[in-house]
Amino acid sequence: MSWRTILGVVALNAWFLVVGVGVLFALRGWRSWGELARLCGLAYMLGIAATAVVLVWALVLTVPFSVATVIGAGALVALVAAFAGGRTGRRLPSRPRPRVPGWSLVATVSAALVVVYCEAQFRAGRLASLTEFDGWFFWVAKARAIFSFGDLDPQFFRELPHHGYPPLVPTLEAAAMRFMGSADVVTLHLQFWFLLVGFVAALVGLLAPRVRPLFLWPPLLLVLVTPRVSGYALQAQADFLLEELLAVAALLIGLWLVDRSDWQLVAAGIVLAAAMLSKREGALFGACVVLAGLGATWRQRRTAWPRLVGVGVAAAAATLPWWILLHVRGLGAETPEAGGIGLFSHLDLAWPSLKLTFSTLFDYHQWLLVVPVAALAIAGAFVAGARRLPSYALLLFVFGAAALTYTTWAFPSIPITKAPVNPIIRLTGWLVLVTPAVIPLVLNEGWDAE
Amino acid sequence: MSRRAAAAPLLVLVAALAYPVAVLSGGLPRFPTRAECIHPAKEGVPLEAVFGRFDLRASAEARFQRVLAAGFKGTKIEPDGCGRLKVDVAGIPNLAVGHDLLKEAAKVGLTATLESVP
Amino acid sequence: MAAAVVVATGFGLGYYAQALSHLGDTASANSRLSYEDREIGGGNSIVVDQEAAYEARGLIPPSARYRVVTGGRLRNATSLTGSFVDGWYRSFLIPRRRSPTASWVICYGCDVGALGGAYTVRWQDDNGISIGEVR
Repeated sequence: MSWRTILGVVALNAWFLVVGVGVLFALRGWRSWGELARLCGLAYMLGIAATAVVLVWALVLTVPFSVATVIGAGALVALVAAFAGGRTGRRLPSRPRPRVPGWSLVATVSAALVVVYCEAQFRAGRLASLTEFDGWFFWVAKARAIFSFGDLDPQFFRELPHHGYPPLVPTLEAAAMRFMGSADVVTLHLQFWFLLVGFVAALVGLLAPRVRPLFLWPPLLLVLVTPRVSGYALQAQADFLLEELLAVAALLIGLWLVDRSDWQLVAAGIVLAAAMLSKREGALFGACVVLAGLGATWRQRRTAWPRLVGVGVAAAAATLPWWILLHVRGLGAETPEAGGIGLFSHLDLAWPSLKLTFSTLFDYHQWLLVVPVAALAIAGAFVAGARRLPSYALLLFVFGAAALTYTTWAFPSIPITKAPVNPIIRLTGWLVLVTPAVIPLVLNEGWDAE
Repeated sequence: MSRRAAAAPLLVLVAALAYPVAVLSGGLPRFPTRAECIHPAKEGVPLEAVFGRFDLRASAEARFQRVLAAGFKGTKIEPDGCGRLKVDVAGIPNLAVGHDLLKEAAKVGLTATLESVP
Repeated sequence: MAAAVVVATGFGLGYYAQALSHLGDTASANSRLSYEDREIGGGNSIVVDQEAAYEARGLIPPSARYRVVTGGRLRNATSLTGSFVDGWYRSFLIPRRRSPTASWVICYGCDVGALGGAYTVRWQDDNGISIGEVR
């Protein structure tokens, strides 16, 4: 709540950005310093994803958790990245030359609106108390345990609810607490503000040079002003982080469908690994992103599929240490109650689960008209003659909706309702956040095709 | 750099500054600390002498016993409203009496502060 | 496609002021909270008495074990108290560990006769909440 704790969170996130810049250097480098500035959002997301994954591995290996561990993990990532970048012959551009890219009126006004929105989010989150149920019940409780004991304390991680949930979010929260110098659960909300800003900056940085401003900014603004995002984006739990990571991964794979630059796949793999270590649903929704990529590359499957499958496998492999630890400790992975063939014993739940998914995705009071806008854009792009990106986006939404249906169907003990006892509203956020990431590409391709 | 090209980021910068300026015009931001439960003494309101604030009840009780042993009747332990326990003597009618009490405390090696009762 | 852009622009701009106003209201409400309301957070609808939470933290040493025992003698309980008070203390009192046989007891209207020993009350309130040790 003090300047000191705020500065602690700022320092941590600045470190993530530094690490991410190293990762970006290894993956693609930059032609000018202006390009690096534009890609800072992506660098931040890569930095946070890569560092947090390494920190989870460190916790599994019982490396004591401290500020030094966080700095060390980031330094390790940055060093490996710098080495890899050097090996591939990357060079830094010459000294910066002051040059401001031309901004359209739409881009200027929209950027101003988004910046002010982010400032308002900061103001709202700075003194927020920890009232979110899952937050105090187990996400932040786990973070407090890591902060206090410096490890994944066997007793706490056995006794706290949802011991099988992957620990990336509590790890990140514990890192913030370490940098703040206390378990300040109020200022902790600012960590999630940085994630929201990083997400927005990543989308804008990746899309701005490739799509028309009118296709980029309105979907982004629409998502930001939805009651759900403006009211809950800074909650100290895993949902929005998961969704932000998935949306960035979906965008990177979408870009790869156009460019076929391998760095985009590697970046997507890093972000997907973090998503899969954030929540159990990360694996399910991450698989949807990869499957959508597979579907969109059906005609080039011989060359494209091994790469895309490789991304999914590598991301999933990054979660293995956590699952092994659960196994070693004799703790269950908290798999769905009716997963696999268990679904067939509850066929009666299929239709109500699907209906719940759609009624939530189209719930105006939560998400305004984000999904209808996405549907219109995809349909319009198809009509205009575009195929590749509209197909990808359509598959994302189809697989995503199926996965969301599964999350209700596979848990027969959870009532089929939009009440908080069922996480469906929080989970549908992933397709909503995918919209400003992928739909601008779809609109642009459709426009070009027309 | 053309003037038009520079105008766009400048406009964004102006908007970015305008919002906090507008917010700050309503007052400086608060940084809540536990000190917000310490109310400076002023004339005309009930006063108390506070002999310390403690996170642990054991520490508060130790101070409480010391203050009591020094002869300050009416000493009690109570929550201070910011998650800590304070050892205090309430019922001080005015600043002059309060300052006398603080001098008495100092004579027996106890430090206390005079505060308004919230 | 044009329709998608028009709808997104219209609703994005239309709801922008509302979102900003909502965020402003949230900031003001958060700023008005007392230190304890802000720190207890979700526990405000569970613990019945904030003082009990702070007394628990002040009385039970960080290295000690404790247990939360609930019972029917609690007054002014909310609908969430019985189900979640144990879970809330588990998070709030870290690094103190829970144990079903701990000597430190946070009693929420519990039957003190069934605690398994002589119960020395170290703090109590009018709601039937007490904190003490079983010997």
